[in-house]
Amino acid sequence: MAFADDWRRVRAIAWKDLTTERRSKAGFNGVVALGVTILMLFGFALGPDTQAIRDAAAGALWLAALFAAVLAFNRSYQVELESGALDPLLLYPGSRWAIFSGKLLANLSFVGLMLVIVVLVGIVLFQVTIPAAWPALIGVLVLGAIGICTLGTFYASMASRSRAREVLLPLLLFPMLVPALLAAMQASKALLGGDLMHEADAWIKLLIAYDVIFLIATHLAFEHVIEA
Amino acid sequence: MPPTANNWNFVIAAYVIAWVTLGGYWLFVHRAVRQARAQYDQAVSAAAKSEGTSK
Amino acid sequence: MSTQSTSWVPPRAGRWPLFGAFTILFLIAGQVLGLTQSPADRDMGDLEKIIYVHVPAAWVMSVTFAIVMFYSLRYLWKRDERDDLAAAAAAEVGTLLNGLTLALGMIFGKPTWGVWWAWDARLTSTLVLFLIFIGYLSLREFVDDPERRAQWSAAVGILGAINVGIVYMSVRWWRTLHQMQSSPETVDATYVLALRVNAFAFLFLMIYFVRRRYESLCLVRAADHAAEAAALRGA
Repeated sequence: MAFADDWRRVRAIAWKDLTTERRSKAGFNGVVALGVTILMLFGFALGPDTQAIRDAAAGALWLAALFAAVLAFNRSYQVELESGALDPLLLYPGSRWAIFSGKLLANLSFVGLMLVIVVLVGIVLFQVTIPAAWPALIGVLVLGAIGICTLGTFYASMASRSRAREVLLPLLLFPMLVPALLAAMQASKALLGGDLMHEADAWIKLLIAYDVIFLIATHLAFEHVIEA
Repeated sequence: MPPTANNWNFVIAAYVIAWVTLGGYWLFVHRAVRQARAQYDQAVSAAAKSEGTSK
Repeated sequence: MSTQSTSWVPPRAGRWPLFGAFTILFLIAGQVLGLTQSPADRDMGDLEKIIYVHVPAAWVMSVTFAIVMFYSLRYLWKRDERDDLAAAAAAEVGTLLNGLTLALGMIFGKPTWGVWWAWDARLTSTLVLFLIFIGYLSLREFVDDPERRAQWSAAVGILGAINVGIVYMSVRWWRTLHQMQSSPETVDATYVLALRVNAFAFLFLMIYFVRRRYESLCLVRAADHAAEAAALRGA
């Protein structure tokens, strides 16, 4: 029954974080607006040639999502740090990893919702034609979001409690995300182009391996990180 | 690209960078050890002094 | 939450300065051997001389990061803060060697490939490793509480080391799916001796640097401990 208890804790923490976000929509709106702004700026950097924009759409979308998501990760601990609620949270009995899972689930919902809006706007702005294999594309979006959120939630738990958190989080996070971003960008790009070379398969496998490895590693390491 | 005398510029640049980097770090390491040793000796003697007065 | 034992005496210099002097002589010998004795390469000409600084730096860099990984794991296991300081010392030296490897690689790449940088698996994963450890060192800089800093940097070090392999694989796929990158690292048997001597010289130098950095980090921590103990008694 221990697992059922932990699962209840995970849901409770995720629900608490999402409720806080829902009550103050300003945070979510701001993050989405930033994502759209970055997309537009990429358009200026790459455009106005339609084909060039279309070719770069996958990369630009992932980067816009990444930059917007980083803001969400720092926010996810900020509320608790400002109200001093993190220490009482640690005093509750149960596994530490459940706190991490809960925060991860909340961040995943938050970033997932943001990703949906940014992708829809991106499809319009970058004049992307939706390929026949669109379910695979959604799978890539989910896997990429899991990878980004897992490490983002993990590193934010450190960076948000240090001096200079605005610099430290991207500095730690971005190099770690290189394989996930590369795989997600290449898989999306291949799928958008019709996947004539059958490249997407290998990238999706890499993305799955990355997600599994770091889901395990961060859950194991979180105990050491949160207690200190 | 055929091997030319020009390539010596690259070789010299590489060795200069390597030696300056390693030599600079050598100096930094020894200065750090010296300063840390002084800091430690000072802290220990100050602690010994405070122990003497508190008793 | 100070559960760490503070009852340790910082390491002494001992005979290490002697080892340092020996290392310098060995390194000079190795470099002179490489520069004067090795014949110019048929394809690369005199450029092959860069190998005697570039390749040892790259090899020894990997050893250094293995040391970081080892002491990070040992710290999480035994909770001895000296392990954390050893990992920090190795990370600093490793980052230095990593930067040197990148710089020398570019100097080697320009005349051989015609470009300063190629997005090849080895180069790119070396750059990513460099950035990960810049992050590691910044984290240590930005966190003041020693126990917190130790646990966090151990986690960052271990995750970073796990990631290097994945980065290498992903970049290799990225490249091979598009075009093959020719590797310039074919070393003829004639150069093996000079290369080996220089590799050991760099290895000894790395050990010396890590040991002395470890010594100074321990001294600073021990000074803090002594000051804390004195303040507690005085209060």
